[in-house]
Amino acid sequence: MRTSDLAELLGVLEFVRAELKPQLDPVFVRAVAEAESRHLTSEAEAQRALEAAVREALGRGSA
Amino acid sequence: MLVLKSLEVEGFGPFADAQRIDFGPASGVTVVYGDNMRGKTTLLNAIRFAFYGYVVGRMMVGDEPRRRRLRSIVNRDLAASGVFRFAVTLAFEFDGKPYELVRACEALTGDPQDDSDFDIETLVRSGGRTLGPQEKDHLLATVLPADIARFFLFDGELLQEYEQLLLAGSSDGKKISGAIERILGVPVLKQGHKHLKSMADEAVRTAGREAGKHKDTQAFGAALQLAADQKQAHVAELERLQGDQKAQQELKAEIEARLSAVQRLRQIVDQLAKARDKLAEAEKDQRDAGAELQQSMSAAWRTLLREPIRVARAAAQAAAQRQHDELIGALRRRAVDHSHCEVCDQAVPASLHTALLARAAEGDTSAAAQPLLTLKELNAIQDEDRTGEVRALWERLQSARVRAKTAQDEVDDCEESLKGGKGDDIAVTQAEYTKTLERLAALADAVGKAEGKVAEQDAAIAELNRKLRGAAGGDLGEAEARAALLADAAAVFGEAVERYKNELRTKVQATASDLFLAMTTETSDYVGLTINEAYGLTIRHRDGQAEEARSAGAEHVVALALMGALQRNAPLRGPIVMDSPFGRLDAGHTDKIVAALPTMADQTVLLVHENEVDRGRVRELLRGKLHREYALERISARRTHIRAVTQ
Repeated sequence: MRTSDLAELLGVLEFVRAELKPQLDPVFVRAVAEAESRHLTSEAEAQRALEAAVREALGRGSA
Repeated sequence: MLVLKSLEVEGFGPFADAQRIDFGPASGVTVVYGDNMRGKTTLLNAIRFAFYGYVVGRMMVGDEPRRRRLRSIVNRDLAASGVFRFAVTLAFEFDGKPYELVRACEALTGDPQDDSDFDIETLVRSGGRTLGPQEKDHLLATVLPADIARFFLFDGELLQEYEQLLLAGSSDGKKISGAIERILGVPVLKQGHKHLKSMADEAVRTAGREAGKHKDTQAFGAALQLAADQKQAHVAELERLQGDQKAQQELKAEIEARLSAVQRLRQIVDQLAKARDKLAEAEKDQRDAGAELQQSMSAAWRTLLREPIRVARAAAQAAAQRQHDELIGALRRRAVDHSHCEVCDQAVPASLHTALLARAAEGDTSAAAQPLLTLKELNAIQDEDRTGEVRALWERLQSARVRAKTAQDEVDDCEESLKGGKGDDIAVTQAEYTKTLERLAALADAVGKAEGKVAEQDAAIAELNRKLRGAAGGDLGEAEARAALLADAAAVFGEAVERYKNELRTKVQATASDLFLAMTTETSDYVGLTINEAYGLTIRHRDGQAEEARSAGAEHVVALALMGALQRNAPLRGPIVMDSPFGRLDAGHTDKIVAALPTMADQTVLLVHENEVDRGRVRELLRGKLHREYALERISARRTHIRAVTQ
């Protein structure tokens, strides 16, 4: 699945984030969706990509 | 986005020699015309083989189509000469990057029987290099996942399955709903939610352990760890209950299948009884007709002698009449000559003498000839032709034999179907079904309660986290920050799942309605389609009512509208390749669907018989959107060539 094709899904995620957890880092939310999209067929790969996204988000000072 | 560029087949089905189709630009329609048995379905299967390495047949094994043996795919002409080899080369673009996928299959033995007697080699080339095994597997799993192939590669029969989406609780419907969510990208959110939740729970425990190390936050840390452990216990219990629930749901589906089978057995038992009655009746008729025919045949030989006897009898009749007339005449003449009657030995009075003289002169013997005339009439009746009766009896006997044979076949079929079936355990199955429903209701209740406990624990953890932050003076440690980040993100993904699904349902309904109205000829009565939770679509009448029952043709149009709507709203887009999709549709609907093809997907490949829609009509309806036309040309029963058609 191509990332740019996730526009609708990312739009809903951003809407929910802004409404439910406005303090949550939007870049992290997007990174999780992209990681899951890229690794739908591999649980281990998805977990690894998520871990990397968490590290990056924490590195940016997100919490 | 996936775009097909070209397909090359060799030794595959009726395509003995290398044959190629170029699909043209990314946007537009390619039409392949072909008579039956020329290879239209084979082309669809060739694309399937390229992507998945197998070909499906029409028969089902359980709820999956049976995979065809590799031997059966080999071109028969080549196989007859001992060549068991075929290859498919598919060129495509994915996310703007060109790829060439080659799958070649070759026998390992001289006379291969099983699939294990074949070797399949798969190569993917891109940008002048061959992809490594992992890269290749990842690409093939991503480009067109097998579980959503039904929305891209399909035939008319597959379209009929979408009615299952309207049946609540149908296992096929659930499977299709799952595939629809897959193409729409819902698993991205579901998986994200699952992973974030699991990572958040682990992070909470870590944060608790970290907080326990510091004096100010020690108490909160211990409470947090305890809450995390309790949550884990509740989650474990919830998962156990959900596992039981799933097992019971599967059992329910299995019992429903058994009940349906028992129901079917009962129908067969009824059918068997009727077939036996029909058999007995036909056999009796056969016996009766046989006996009557035998009786009729015993006298029928006379029919052969009917004409000669009639001629002889007429001659004898005429001779008897003549002799009778002569005798009467002689007696009258002697009575006149001697004035004495020899018959009654009396004198003839003068008055009678004159009358006798006159009648003797006229030769009148009418009064005395009456019995002979009666005899003649009776003989005519005896001469009646009986061939018609024999023929009718013979036909009746033959008809009875055919009916008896048909009934016997039906009896045999029913008995065969009943072999191994237990027609009398419906009561047991019904009781088991009731118990399963009760267990499911209890489990649903327990799952609800367990979910409530998990939610309570989540709330407790959130509160403890808030207090922990307060105690730490707002300065979160890394573990706490990680736990908070993951918990917040998990909450967002969890909420987004239902929101996204609802949004998609609304969009799919709107797009499918537009497509349906573009495809149907019934635009004055229908205003669109209504989608249900499972993505099943119902036709909405102008009066606001849903059309409960719909024809196979309407089903077809609705399914095509759903296909187009999914393509239009799915993150994963690609070509639609459809094989003979107009079988159940009238000319009006066929025209409208052909015209709507370019709106269903960017790239469409139509494999069609010219009786479904002719070339001139296709050109007129598609105009500039028709990019390529091909015809499947018969070389022999086992060989087809693909010829480009020029307009």
